[in-house]
Amino acid sequence: MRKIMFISLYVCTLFSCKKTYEVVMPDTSRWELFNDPAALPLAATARNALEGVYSLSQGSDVFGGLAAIKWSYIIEGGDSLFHLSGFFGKDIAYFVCEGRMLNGSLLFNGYWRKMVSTETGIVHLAIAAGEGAALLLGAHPVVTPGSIILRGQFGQGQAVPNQDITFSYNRKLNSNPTPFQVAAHRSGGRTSDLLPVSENSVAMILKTPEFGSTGIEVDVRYTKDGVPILYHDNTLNLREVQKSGLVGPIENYTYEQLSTFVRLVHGEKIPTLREALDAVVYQTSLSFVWLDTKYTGSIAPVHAIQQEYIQKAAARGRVLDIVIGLPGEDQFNQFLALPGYAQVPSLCELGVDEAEKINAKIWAPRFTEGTQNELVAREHANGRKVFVWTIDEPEFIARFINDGHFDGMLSNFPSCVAYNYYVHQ
Amino acid sequence: MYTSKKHLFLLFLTAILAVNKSFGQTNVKIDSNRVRKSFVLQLGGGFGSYTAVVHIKPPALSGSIRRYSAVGTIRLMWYPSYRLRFGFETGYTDFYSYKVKNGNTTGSLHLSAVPLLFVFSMQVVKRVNIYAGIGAYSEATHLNYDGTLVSRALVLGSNIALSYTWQLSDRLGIMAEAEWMNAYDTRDASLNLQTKLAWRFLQWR
Repeated sequence: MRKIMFISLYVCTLFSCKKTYEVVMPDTSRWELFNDPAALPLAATARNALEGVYSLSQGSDVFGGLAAIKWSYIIEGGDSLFHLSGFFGKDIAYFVCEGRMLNGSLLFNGYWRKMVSTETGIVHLAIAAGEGAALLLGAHPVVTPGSIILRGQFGQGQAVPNQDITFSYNRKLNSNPTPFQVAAHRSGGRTSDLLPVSENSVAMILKTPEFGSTGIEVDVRYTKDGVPILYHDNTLNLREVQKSGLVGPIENYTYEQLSTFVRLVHGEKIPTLREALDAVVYQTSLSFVWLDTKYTGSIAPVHAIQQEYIQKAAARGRVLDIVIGLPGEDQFNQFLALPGYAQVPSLCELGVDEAEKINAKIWAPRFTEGTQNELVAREHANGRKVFVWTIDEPEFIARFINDGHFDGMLSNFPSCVAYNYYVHQ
Repeated sequence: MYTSKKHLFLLFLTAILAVNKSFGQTNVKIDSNRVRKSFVLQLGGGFGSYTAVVHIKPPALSGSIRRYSAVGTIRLMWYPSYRLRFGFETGYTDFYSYKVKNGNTTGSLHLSAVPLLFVFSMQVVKRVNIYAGIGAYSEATHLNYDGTLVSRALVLGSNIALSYTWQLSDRLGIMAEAEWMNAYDTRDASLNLQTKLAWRFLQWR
């Protein structure tokens, strides 16, 4: 009898399941007021003046006491799509909204999310005419503390928003003469963080400005037929792609085979490096791309693409840094084989001596080395920027921004970096 | 969603408990059959059905996914003087296959697996044995599209099986076995029904 009980228990446990975590994007299409045909897109002056650090008088128990509110945009089909994002100090929370004006008021409709959990929901916000909308819709809005009040509700999941949240304009966003790069890992964030699009996809590149990113890191590999693509891991696996029957190293397959048989977790194709850079140059305002070298072998094909897209960006009047990331000795030695390597924009993750040897545009030490302010100052004196990677812990992000002198930070949580940078005084 | 760590732990726990139970049976009446030590070869084949819960999503699928295939396994077991038996299992199965059509170009894929498992076994009641194995599956993608290739990956996995044996002679038996193969990382699994020949090819007291 004991034997049968033991076997039954074993079989039950073996076949039992664990909870599957998922984040279902809230349906934000049901706010009738926002969908009113008379609601119009916001004017550029109103958008720009709205950006700032806001204090929360309601909702601070859920989101924290401050929010950095900032616009981003992408270009789709020739149209600019603007999103208003709010970055909070608690639980790596953020909201993303579209904005419209209606009858003298400003309306914002979107969703919020906490990256430390699966919590998400709908958010509806408004600025009444007497609470800043009239000011923002004026020709030259001058915003002062308390002059803009953003009121609304947020809800849980798909539920209609019913919890009050109120923001009051506090001050301008932090900004330096030399811009700080909020660089997003894996083109915007990890698939495992339950984002609505897959890491290292074109869709993520178009999504990441909403998270506060001003730049991205992407992982470059070659297919069997030499096409540079974006993919992080050594092998095809279910963390990154849907089940297709293809196993083993991604380098075993041609691009045509991958394109026909494989989709990323959220259904996107594995993009070529060209497709990714096309999206950056022609559809976003991102100003920095870090091509992380995940392959061994010649860097020359990636270098050629890098040069091509630097020129394309320049032709569009864009300020865009595209650097080749060198994470190890192998890649460093391959880089030295490039003709005129000292003029090729690069990012060196090795020591300062190596960074100086190749005249790297950026030196990127790992965050575990600390803030290294003396070395950072030395590299600044050499005309070199310094980025730190990869920091995801909010306390560390705050400490490195407040105590360090870096020019950029790589993180899987760009919204957290954005919050800490923009509220920093 | 199954977790590999949990499976590994459970299989390990099962083995430990079973060994403890076997070694601890100092007062158990041991019949002559159990005292006899032997090596047994189990060889057979049958039919497998792909049972994984994670859906296969080929974007250019043409037709349906074939989830049934022939399966063959070979298992070498050591029957010691105590209850828990040990052995090694290998074999071959096709988890699934399908065809694709992309414009005018067609192609096909099948995913095969070779189990490489360290197996524990114990008799539950007379003639009925359970098996639990842990190890890996050597999976291989056989692709015929834009050229042909075989791409392999070693994937952690396990199996469990239940068999019934008809003894034909002192050394030979016929087994009917239901076996569940499970590859963790790729979340592939199949339920196999096989008939096997069991041959006690070496024995001693």
